[in-house]
Amino acid sequence: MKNQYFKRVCYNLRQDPVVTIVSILGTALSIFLIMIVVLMQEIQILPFSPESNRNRILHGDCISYTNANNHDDHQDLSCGMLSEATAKKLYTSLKTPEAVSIFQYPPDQTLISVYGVAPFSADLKQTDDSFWRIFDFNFLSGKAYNKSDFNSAQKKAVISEQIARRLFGSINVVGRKITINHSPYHICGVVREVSNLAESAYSQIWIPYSTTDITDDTWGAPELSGSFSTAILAYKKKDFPKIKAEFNTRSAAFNAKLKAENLRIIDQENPRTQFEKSISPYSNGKPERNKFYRQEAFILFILLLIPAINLSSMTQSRLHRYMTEIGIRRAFGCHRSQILKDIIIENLILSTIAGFVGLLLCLLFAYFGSDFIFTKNWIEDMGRPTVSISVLLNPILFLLAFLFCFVLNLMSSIIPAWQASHTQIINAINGKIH
Amino acid sequence: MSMISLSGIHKTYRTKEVETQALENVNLEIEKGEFLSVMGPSGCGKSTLLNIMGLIDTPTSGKLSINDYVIEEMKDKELATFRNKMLGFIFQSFHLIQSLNVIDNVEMPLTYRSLSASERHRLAKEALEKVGMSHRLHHRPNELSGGQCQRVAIARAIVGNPEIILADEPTGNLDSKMGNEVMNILHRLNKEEGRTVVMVTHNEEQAKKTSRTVRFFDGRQIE
Repeated sequence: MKNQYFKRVCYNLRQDPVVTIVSILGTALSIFLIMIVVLMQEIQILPFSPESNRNRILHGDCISYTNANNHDDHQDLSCGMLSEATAKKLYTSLKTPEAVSIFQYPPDQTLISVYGVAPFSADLKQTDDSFWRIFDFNFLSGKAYNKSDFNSAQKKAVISEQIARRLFGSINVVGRKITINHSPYHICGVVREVSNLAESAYSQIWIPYSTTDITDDTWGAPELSGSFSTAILAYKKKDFPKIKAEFNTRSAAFNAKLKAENLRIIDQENPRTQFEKSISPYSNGKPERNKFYRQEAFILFILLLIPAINLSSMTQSRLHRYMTEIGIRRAFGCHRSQILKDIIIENLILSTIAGFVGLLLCLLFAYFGSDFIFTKNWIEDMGRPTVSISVLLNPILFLLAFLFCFVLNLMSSIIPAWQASHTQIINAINGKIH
Repeated sequence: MSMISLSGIHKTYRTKEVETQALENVNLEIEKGEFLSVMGPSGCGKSTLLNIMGLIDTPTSGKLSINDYVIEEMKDKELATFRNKMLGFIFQSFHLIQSLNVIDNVEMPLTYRSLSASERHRLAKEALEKVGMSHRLHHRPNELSGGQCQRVAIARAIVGNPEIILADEPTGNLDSKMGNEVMNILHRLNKEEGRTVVMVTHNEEQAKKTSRTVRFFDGRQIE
């Protein structure tokens, strides 16, 4: 029976190649569009190196605060990245996580130079030593700076492969000197290029923030805001509620001290999961999950509905030629629900073929046109949003593509299939749908 | 005991402008093991009658029972199972499924039963042997002659071992030699296997060889 579905699909393809191919291409383009929309969101959540631990990471990016006497959270609201002191008080003292890192966010463009090479700008991120424990960089040579280096403000730098080649024409440059913002650093490691889609980990050069005066760069009443973000690595995802609860206790204690300054921190559901961060990056509001789901559902529904209407008429026209067979099958004992199932399965085979074509187009487009679809305003002048093949071959994307094929198939075939299965048998044998 | 019983059967086709009486008060009893011919001019309602007996069309009014089952009381799934087990159809234009080869066409009625693939294959081969087509298992319908197609259609009709075979002008599209071969098979199924056969035909010679002939004119049974 299963074989017969494939035989009929092949037969239809031979009998009516134009309609079948147009139908497959129509579905493929729809799946392509849908998967681009899905990929733009998924790329912010899917784990990939050096953010392979995304499903175990919580982010403490911003702090929002207002006057202690304001009952309305939105009145006189201030919001900004964290100062080092705030990050330490709220996050690094947490006991539940495996590691907590404080790092500059976003990276700065900084002038770098070595003797004999014209100075140029590169993206610089200042971090602590835990940063290297949370993010799994691929070291091509050397290693990261450690706790002792950080604490003693050793002027060490990790640079990307591209920067190493541009400066020295090689990646074996550990121990060589580099001038970063007019200050000499020793290169301690070279890492494989990082896509700027790995927003937390991305940079081209990484140095200990203890070697600069970035911690003095604060603002807001008593130095609440600064240039830092935090990443909190849990032992396991199940620890998230415990970490959030621990954070809330810290936050309450912090608020109690802030009262003296007539300030209070607003609960913005920090720290946030990768998904929560992706739907409300650096906003001074809570992650609006329901709004996000509604928007995504609406966009996907429209993207499915329009092709479904077109494909439905194609399915109808294909079924007209297939009506006699439906009639014959029913005359020999096939019941309506079986006919309905047969039509939907045959259509699903076509939709799945089309889905693979659409997904392939989407992956090729994402790989070669990543600048076009993934660049955000704030990172457009930083690095390239490169996407690795391993990210694109994620099973979740294949599952989602199949799910959308299935839904599109149901939307486009259910009405014609229902009509065909409910046609009087003798009319069906005579090739009519009534 | 009648195998098929039609009582007061009417069939009316209605369009917006016209109402056509295809069958008018047909009362007919067909015994088990009978070979009945239905004759009459084109458009007299013979095929409509056969379709109603085959449960692929519904009468406007009247009562139909087959093997003591009252058909109007049956639901879609019951009707489908009934057609599958009790009835085998042979059409003038064969109506083989073009996308399937010979063996798959013959297996088709068995796919609606709980049978293993090997059992279906065995039964289909047996049915094809009975009609002398076991050497064409993997040919497609468009690779066969008309006579061969009709023999495959007969194999499909008998593969599920139905008690009733309904044949709508089974030789209408065949030359006389092929037509005789097909008629011989139908007679053999009737005499040797005891199947009830109802055949619509225009051919007096073929009708004479059957056990009874009923004639229709303008939707009415006249003989």
